[in-house]
Amino acid sequence: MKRKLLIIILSILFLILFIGFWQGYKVLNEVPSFILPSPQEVGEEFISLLLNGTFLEEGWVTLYTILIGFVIGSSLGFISGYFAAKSKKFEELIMPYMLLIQATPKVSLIPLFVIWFGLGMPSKLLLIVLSAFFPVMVNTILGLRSVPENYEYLLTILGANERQRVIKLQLPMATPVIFAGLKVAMVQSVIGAIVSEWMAGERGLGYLLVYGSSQYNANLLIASIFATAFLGLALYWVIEFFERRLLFWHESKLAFKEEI
Amino acid sequence: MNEPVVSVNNISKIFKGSKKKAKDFVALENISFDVFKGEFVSLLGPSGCGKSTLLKIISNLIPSTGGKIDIYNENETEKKIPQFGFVFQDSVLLPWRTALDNALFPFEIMSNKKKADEKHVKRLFELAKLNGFEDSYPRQLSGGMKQRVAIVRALSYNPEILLMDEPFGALDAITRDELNNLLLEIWHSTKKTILFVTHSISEAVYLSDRIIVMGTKPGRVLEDMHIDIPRPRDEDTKLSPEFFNYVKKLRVMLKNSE
Repeated sequence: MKRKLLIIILSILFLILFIGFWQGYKVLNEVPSFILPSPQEVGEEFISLLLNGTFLEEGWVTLYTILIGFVIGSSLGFISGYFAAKSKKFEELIMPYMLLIQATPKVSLIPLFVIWFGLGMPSKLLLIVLSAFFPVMVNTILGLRSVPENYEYLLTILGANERQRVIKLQLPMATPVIFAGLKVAMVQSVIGAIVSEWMAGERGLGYLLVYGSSQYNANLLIASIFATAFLGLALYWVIEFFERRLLFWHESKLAFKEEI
Repeated sequence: MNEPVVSVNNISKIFKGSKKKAKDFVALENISFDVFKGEFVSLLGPSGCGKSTLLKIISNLIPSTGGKIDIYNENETEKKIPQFGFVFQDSVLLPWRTALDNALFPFEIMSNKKKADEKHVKRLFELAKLNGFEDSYPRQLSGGMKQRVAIVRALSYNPEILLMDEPFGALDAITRDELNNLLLEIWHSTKKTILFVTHSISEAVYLSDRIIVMGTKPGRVLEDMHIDIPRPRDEDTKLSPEFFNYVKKLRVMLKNSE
């Protein structure tokens, strides 16, 4: 408990230090506000954008695009990961293409998507799906394959069928690794959404960034960056929340160990 | 003489060399012995003699290259349930299940063949001195306790034969002695047939009615030795001259086989 308090105090101190450095830099170097607004100006802008609904409306557009794209992408990743883990042939068949897609900077695909699907939702979704897919697939394969041999032997002795093996042993065993993949996928999805909104969006927090930049509105720009960061953090926490619930038994969840 | 429960006939196991140049590796060569009902038999040998491999062949986890295993099960109605309980060197407990749920796990796998006998499992918990830890998760248990849960799980569905693959090999010496005594108690009250793999000479002598001594290169039976030390055995047994004689004899035998 004492340690937790110390961590909270330290992070608040760090925040104060950061804001102080920002303010000090601006005042000492006489940086004009259109290049670097003061923390206070950004704070006011942030609150006014929050209150007039801009952040909620644009944030909502970004949020549901991320959620839909993430769910589709990670589901596809999980399913193909499952089949690749079960069948070496399937893995060998799809892996080269998966690696090719993964090696291609996905941003470079957006202009093509814009030609095919126009500005807006479909292009954005496609990019997020591609971003979320790979980390989940790779980790699903890894997780399902890394069940220790003796566990498989145990289920053989007990006469388990394939369905029981998967449901009662392999999937629970693979859950920690799959969750690691989901976390990466979520971060990638947020990046994918923002980037695609720069290039192909007419709405969303990413679009707000482009708009702020084109208007030379550093205030709006910085406030929007914070909004984006908060959204990304919140979504990461959602995954962590489910992870804690599901993986209460896992060594990495030390918080639970202290409770019991 | 009573009937054998397990009959090992001329079992051999050859691992084929993976490359053309690599030689085939003979892990087991013409192994034969019987295990009788209610007996405590140990397979003793240095690492690499194939004793664990043999146990996996007996329990049909891996195929042999030659020979035949016969299992005699008098209980015709329960043919469908596993005839073996298997205890591994590590506990192989499912970390997301409590100790009790781990012990009941076998019934979940064979739900259509055998109803969960919770009374029996609870009794085993007591026998293994685990009462009070039913709702603990494996992470909260010590190595010795985990191994005890693994033994309870292996016995939960009341198999005729208990196969144990160096079950106490990863434990410290004190816990190991403790679990040896506990295992003898459990064996005494459940009357199971136990086939026990170990590389500890004193452990084998202390526990067994009979020791199948194995040598390496290739894995083979050196001797089938009866241990005529009266039961019940306890810590004093280990200080007796007869115990010492068996240990000495086995040590010399294993040394000469190298």
